[in-house]
Amino acid sequence: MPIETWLYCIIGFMILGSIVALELSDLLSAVVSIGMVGLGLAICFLLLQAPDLALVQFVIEILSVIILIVMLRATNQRWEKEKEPRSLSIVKVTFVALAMIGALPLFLGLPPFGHPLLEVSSYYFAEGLQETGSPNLLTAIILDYRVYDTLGEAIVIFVSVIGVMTIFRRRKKGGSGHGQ
Amino acid sequence: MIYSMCFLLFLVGLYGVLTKRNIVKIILSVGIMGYAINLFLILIAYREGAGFPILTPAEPSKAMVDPLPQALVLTSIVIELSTTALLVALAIKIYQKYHTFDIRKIRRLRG
Amino acid sequence: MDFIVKTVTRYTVWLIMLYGMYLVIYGHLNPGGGFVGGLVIALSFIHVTLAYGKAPPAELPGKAVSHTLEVAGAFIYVGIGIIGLALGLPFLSNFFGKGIPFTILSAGTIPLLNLAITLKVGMGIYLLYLVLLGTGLSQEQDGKDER
Repeated sequence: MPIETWLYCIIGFMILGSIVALELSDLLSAVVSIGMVGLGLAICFLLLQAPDLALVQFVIEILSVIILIVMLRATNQRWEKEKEPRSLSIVKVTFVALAMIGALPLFLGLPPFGHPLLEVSSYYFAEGLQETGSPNLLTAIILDYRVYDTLGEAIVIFVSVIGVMTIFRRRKKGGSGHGQ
Repeated sequence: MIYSMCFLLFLVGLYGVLTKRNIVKIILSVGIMGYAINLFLILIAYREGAGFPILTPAEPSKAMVDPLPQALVLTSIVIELSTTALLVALAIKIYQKYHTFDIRKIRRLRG
Repeated sequence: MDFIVKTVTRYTVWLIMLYGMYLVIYGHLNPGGGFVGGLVIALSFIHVTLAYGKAPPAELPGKAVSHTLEVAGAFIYVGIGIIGLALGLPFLSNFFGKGIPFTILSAGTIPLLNLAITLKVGMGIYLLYLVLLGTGLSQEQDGKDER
């Protein structure tokens, strides 16, 4: 079976899992369905010759499911009570379908699958091992050629941690009266 | 045509953001949109018959897929997790303040 | 949690952590690297927390320690850049000798930067998890107090 057929199957599975996750009224089941979608994405990465990404996606998916379940446990809400009226959602589904139809000609203009136009990477293939000494070219790009990118990523994680800690900061019980 | 399947996945996420009124469902929809974007970037860089971009001593040069989009997506995936964590923190705070996940009631109770 | 879960955790969590360290150390030779290695190490801590709850068998890093380690990762990352700057090279340039390819001690600063990224990402995600878990517990306690 060619790789494209496998990809059609897995992306179809992912679309199905996403629709199931969005339409279920049990929030815990919805979170688990999202976990299945993410694992399907990890298999896609493996088929598309990106083992590093498959590893990262696999671990990230487990962690995000854990974090979402922690949220459900902290708020003690298991069921989705609020539903939108059917007439309003039909209008929005029509809008989404129109966006799909309108975007289809754009995808016909892309290069066919398996034959990319990008040729920048030939420099990395030729010179990467000599210039960085790292046989894993992905690591060579992340930590040598585009190291500022990773610095920005570290700053984003830092800001996220600081944001979460600021949201949940507690005023000291003794000191709050003096402070204000 | 595999690109349009990927776009369909993105539109499923967009549909969720537009129609759902529960904050948990909106967080899940944002995650689905992120998956679609990452998958599209990797799909467009795939070269037929090429191997993964890691050199081995046995074969120091071979046909490989483009490692540059993979590097960008690797960063994007990790950032997505921290975004999800920040959204979850905001959702917990909203629940503690308003005791609901419904976005309309949050708007009503402002002030 | 169950007795079975606790026992299985006690015998397998070291393997998870060892795999994370392997991913970090061989990050420039094999699939892996700082991101996934840090996440796997954070996942081993989270695994123990999930299985044992409030009384873990070994002492895990708390909020203060993990925050310190995370900031230390950021400082190592920027410090390597500043050393390169002091040697007259561009910021964050790969200033070490490259060594012999396909061996562990090669590729200049890349293993050190991998270590910094490991501390940064792994401890950052673990800290996020700890803070989010703490909110749930405190809210339950608050609810009990109100009742």
